[in-house]
Amino acid sequence: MEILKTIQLSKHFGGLKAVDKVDLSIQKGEIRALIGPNGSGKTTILNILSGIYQPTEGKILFKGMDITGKKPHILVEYGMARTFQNIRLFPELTVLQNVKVGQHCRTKSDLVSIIFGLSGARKEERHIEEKAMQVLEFVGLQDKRNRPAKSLPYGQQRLLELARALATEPELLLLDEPAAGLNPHETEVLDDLLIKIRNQGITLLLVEHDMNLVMGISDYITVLNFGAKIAQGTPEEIQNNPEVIEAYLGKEEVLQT
Amino acid sequence: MKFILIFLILAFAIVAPLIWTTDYWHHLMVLAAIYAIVALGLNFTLGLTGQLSLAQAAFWGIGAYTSALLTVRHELSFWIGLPAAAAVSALFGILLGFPSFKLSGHYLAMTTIGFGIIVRLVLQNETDLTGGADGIAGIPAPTLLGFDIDDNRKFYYFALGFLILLSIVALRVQHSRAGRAFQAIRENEMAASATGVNINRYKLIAFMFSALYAGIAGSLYAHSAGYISPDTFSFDQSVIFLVMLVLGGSGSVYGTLLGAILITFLPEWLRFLKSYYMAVYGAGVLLMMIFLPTGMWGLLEMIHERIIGKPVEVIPPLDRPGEPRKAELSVGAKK
Repeated sequence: MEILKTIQLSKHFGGLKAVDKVDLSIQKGEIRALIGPNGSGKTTILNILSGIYQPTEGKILFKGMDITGKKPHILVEYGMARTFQNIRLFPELTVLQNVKVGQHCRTKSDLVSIIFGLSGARKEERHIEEKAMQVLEFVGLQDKRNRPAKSLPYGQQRLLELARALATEPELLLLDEPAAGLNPHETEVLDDLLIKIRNQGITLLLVEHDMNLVMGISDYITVLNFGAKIAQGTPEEIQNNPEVIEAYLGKEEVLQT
Repeated sequence: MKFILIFLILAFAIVAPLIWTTDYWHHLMVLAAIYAIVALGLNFTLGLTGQLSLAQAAFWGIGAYTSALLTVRHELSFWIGLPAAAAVSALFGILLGFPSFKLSGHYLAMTTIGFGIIVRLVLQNETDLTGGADGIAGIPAPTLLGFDIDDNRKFYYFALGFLILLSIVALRVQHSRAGRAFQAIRENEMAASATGVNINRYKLIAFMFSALYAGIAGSLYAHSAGYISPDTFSFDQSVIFLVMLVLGGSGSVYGTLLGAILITFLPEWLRFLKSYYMAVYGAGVLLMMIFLPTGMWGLLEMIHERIIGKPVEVIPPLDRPGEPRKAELSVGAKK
């Protein structure tokens, strides 16, 4: 089943075609990587998909629904979550509170029941706490739950951002360079986690520069260059694709002259 | 521990009028309780949601005038004036929330200052409606279950009741999904939105709460003073509310209460300085902002941590590849 589809997706910034008529089709349960040289439009695509940018042209279908132009919080409710390349946590809030915010869209206590402390609101609050703790245990941050998010070391901040996204109970998870800045060991932990997340039935779309990680876990890879899709296939196909090699390394003739 | 502390503070608040027995001090206590309610309102916008609003005195004025006009001109009961004040003020609060969709920081602050100035000019110049610069006199004292709340000591207990109720409401909201949504917006708007928080909706709710609290406090002020005029609801007063919040501990209900009490009574304690009073007051606020950016409440929390001791947690060193950190980062779901 197709979970995400883009049709001729384009984003222009003035004269720059940051994303140029990109067609994507992602199946439910797959791990898809989006790769390409710097400035090839990978992050822009994630920003369009998650509702932060409006596309200049084109359509996005999520679970068959047209979600083009929907706001980010609506998309989270539909089941699409994301992380950011430059980590965006709620730094002054505790680790647990950060994850609890993720449960916002899955809960519905209104102000009246909160103010009067009605049993429905209390029960829901306990449920949020349990759910948040489960997710923290999943990424291994349960012991840090009462620390302010800003006090965590970098690698754990990445895990916390992942936990916060998971707490929204997504079906599709968009990850913008999840391994950036991680040491080899932390990358290994992340690798395991991503496989586990997929095994829970969550589809992953990741933008990543760490080729070991990408080649190791992706089912399919889409390659972008100058905003346009230049190749797509399994990791082996991509590794042997002359156009991809050219995009990354340049043309042989050019080098010789 | 926490409950004992709250009990002690409550007990102190109840016996305070028996310790300081002059009417003037009772008047100050009434003011402190009313200011605390206004500051609690500001805590929703600035403290929790991070939206710098400098129109708090204007909402306070809207509440005061609504309640005063209904009770004086239309001879309605205080118990109609109070909810009407809260509702009218909250409505204006929601309206002032709309600019916050597009504006933040000092640009938003300027919009709110503009709103405050407009409100004050309307109060001053719409003579037919508001009585103009002369203000409104003869605002009746409230009655509660047949008792007239007609002196400062009685009014203090009356206002204290409201303050306690509104503090409980503020605490409940802060520790709910709504409170976390507010704080997520303060911490990082884009992340809040990408985590499922409808940021525009919660900004409006924060502005609504902030104005609602100010409106209630305005009604209480009008009926305790018996006379109101536009001068009271000036921009200067908004700044004082801001100082209360920031000095006490922005984002914390207890800190806000502390700040409101401190700023109300500080002028009395500094009175012996005579003409140097404003200079010392200003310097004191300045120094506290430099050395206590988290306010008085932050300081108290720090002292508390020193005494009780922080739970010791070992922070693993980052980027030391040789060291095994599997235990630290062990992936859950083993159970």
